[in-house]
Amino acid sequence: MTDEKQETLIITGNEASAWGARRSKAHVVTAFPITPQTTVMETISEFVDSGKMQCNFVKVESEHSVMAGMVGASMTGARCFTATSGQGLLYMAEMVHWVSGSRLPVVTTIASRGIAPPWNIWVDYSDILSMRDSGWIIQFASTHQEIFDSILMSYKLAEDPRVMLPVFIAYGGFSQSHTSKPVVIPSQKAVDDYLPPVPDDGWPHLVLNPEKPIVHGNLLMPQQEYMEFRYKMHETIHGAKPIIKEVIADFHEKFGRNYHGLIESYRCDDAKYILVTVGALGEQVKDAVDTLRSEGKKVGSIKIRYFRPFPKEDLVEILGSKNLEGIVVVDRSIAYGSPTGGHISSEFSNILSELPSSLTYLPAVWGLGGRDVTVGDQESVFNDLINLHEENEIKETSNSYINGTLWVNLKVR
Amino acid sequence: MTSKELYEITVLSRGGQGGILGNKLLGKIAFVDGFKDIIAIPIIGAERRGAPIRAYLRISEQKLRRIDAVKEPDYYLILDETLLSYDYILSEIKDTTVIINTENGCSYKFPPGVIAYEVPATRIAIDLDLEVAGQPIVNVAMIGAFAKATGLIKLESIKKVVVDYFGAKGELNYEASAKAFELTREVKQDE
Repeated sequence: MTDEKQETLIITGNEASAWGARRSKAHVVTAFPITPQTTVMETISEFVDSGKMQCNFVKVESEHSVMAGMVGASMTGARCFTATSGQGLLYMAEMVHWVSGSRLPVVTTIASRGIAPPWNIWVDYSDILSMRDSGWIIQFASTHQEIFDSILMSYKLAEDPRVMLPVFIAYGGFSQSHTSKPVVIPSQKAVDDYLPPVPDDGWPHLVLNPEKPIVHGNLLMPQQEYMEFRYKMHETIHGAKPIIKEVIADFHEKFGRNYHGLIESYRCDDAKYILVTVGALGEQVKDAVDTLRSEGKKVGSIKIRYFRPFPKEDLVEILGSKNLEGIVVVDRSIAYGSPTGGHISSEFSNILSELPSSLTYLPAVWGLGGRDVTVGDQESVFNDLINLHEENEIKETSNSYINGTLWVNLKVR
Repeated sequence: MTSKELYEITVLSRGGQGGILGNKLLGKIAFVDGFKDIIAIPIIGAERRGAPIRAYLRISEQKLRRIDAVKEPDYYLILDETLLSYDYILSEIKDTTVIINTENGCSYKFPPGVIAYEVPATRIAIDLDLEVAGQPIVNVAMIGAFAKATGLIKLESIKKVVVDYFGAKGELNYEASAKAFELTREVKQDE
């Protein structure tokens, strides 16, 4: 594989992440290994060792230091990349806020895994969604190609002077991080033409330079600008929606791959029932939609690509359709004590108020801790929704309908 | 080559035999041979040498969206025949084709509807000194057996991919697959 021409490689999701950092020419990578992220850092380390990637690869002693390193390096105006998973993300949580609060355009990939105890290393988005309110843009990548492409798009977005916020790109631990698929890696020149280098004199709002000393991050008294800084971050993350669409359109034009927007809908135009979810299962569910359509059932699906900013307007536009009779929103994460048990299905309450009250709404949870979710399981969720709408009950299935939430293949009760 | 659009494969091996890598290499070879999409799915936990290991592969003429486990494979690639001594493994094998690494004839019986091929992959690896830490590596030999039994991939594609992947050891691996291709034979099951 050379840098001069485009090639299709059979690689894992983690290798796609490492290639994203290499083609984006990240200047600084801080590294601490954690399953299932480890091979991202192993691959970058091999790139650096063989001279194929010019970057400062800094091995540190913990994930807290990983993200602290990102703060320091990014403040100098460097393009910064790292990756982690599960417990590692939780350990770096304090520094996650330092990055967003300092408005630093760091990009971090998360090979999502279940949170311990009990120990679990397989796909579960409870790790990334625990960072829901950290001020980072949060995106889910549903294919291997999307992991690679999203890193390029994320730097473009994060470094836009109208944004200046960090981006998390989450994908499934093992289900994506360790499976192998064909990924198109464009030439270095094609990426350079799309993604310009960082500004020579640092970010517009903040640059660490010994020649020009500044004070940053000091104490703000209650009547000073703390509240205004917080509001500005909220305003910016909402305001990023049209910029995300610009970045995607620009990428589509340059590379021919279309990521649609903050959400991607599939066969929703005349759909009576729509399933909403995130990640690779949002791609796989298209096979369930096709099967059910061939049986005459009018179903469709929506993949939420960006969870922060939350794509409320885009969802209302599709879900407000006159044809629609029922929605099922499925989480692969658990939000204990929330209205539904799932992060996204709970968030939907602010969308439901704008939709007809005759709609049947079904929150659901599937695949926690990497439990396999088959296309057949996905069909069963559609069938349960149809059942609930038509009969006002869910007949006996392998799923459990408890206090208004459907738990797919739950082995209790 | 038949007109089927999707082939699903389950690779059963023991830790250290190269089953996970072999599964991925088989995917690469199928892609080089012109299949439009592949996904190699290793089932990974806290494995150790000798433990039963499972990996799945889908190779397709269409874009693949699925990431779930393969439940009813078209082909089983069995790198160690003693894995069939586990009832849970032997009992899942029906209406499929199995390709088994065995030197003296497989001693396990399959139900009617199962087509079985045998190949002495361990013997081939030992004869070629294809060993890592004293253990014969049979993964690429089994890919040669797969080529013979299924006709889905070509020997020259195996050569291209393994030479690219293993470098100096690639030729030896290719030799193992070519030998396996030659020695793989269908075994008639007693009806």
